[in-house]
Amino acid sequence: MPHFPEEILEQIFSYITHCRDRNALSLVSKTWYDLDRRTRHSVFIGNCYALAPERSIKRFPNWVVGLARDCPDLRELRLKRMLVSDPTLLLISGSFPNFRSLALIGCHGFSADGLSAITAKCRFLEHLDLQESEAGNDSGQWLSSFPESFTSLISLNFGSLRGAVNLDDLMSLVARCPNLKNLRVNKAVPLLTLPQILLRAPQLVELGIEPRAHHVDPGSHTRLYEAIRKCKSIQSLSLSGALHIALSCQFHISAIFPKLISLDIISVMEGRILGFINLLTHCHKLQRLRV
Amino acid sequence: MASAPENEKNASAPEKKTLTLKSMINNEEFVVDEHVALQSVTIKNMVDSDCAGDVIPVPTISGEILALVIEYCKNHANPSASEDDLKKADAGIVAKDIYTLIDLVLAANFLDIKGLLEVTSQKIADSIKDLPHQDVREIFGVENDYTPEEEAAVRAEHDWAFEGFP
Repeated sequence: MPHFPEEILEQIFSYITHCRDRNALSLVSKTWYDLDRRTRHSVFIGNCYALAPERSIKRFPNWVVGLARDCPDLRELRLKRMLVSDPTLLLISGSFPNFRSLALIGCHGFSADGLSAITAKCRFLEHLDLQESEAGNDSGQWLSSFPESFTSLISLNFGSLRGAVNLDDLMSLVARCPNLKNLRVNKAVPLLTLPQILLRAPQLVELGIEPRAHHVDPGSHTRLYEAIRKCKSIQSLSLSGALHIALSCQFHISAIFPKLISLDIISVMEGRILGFINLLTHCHKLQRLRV
Repeated sequence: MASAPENEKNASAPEKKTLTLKSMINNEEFVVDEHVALQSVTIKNMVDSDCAGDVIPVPTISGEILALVIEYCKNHANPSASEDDLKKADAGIVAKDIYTLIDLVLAANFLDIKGLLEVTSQKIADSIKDLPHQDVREIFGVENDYTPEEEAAVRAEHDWAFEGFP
């Protein structure tokens, strides 16, 4: 076959969505490499330091500037352990009209203002994952910047941010996103408020909390577990060291834990091991445990 | 009441117009209802601009492929076919080996039949995504223009930087 029209190849490429498949096909020839570059919807850069700078510039020149120019249909971006600046986030927020998913994993260098650009301008955002990342100058303005008309969120993880959060805005956001499945909140969200948030998201599948105080009255633990129990689809719980909370509400957890597929405790204090093991005996479906 | 119009309109069904498509590869001829053939934008343009004679020659498309194209057009010209029927019929048409699919996608592109181009492209994408890239080269007749060093560099990027994301 002397010449295969590029417009057909582009069409074929548009149906290849898995990064691994695209990587393999970009080895076919330079033209195919180029086609992949032009038609990618998602880019994951797991370790920028493994990439010689000139290679990264060739492939995705100048980070987002290049992505914005060459991949206008980009929908998904995952960056891990990278320096990400506010101008970069600003550029992302304005360059990809169909942008759906941003994951900044263990990233730093940006502030809550950069995040505000994303939350205010990416109208179709479904996933915002900030695990292990930090934002400077964070007074929760990013969370309050989601427009009133915004309803598309599926997962939100800001467990590692240190800033305050406007709880009314968080509640309103949760209430207007009917597809929210995964929520991980930071320390600024008090235990007392969580039941009210959960009440607005009975469809939740994964919940992560970062309890601040170690001695909260047992009544609020009970209310929390009662609220979790009402989330009928809950499958994954991340308690970030709050095992004591779980242990103090045996009655309610026995209603929740049999449903869990994933449990994330982070740390088990000495002296609680027995209680912990006892708790695990309730977890008949558990597939993943992190301690 | 007004009486019926004097001039009786020709109420009998108009004679169905047909076109003859001829593969220039093996001279096979297909007589097709015009409205079926007009799903091809290329043929429609020829007919609209009066460039089409009684027999429309179709270069570079074999009779075997042309038959598949016409089958597709017939299915999609049938107003009573449900979406489900069409889906099933499409799946049947593209249930072919990769070389036939490539001829078919080229034909769909030449004749400008958007739907056929899409289903065939999808099927090709599904068929090639798990193949080693050497096989893909052979199937598409693509020459490897990477130097071994360049290929290794792209591969290394995948291993370390762009890997691990669904």
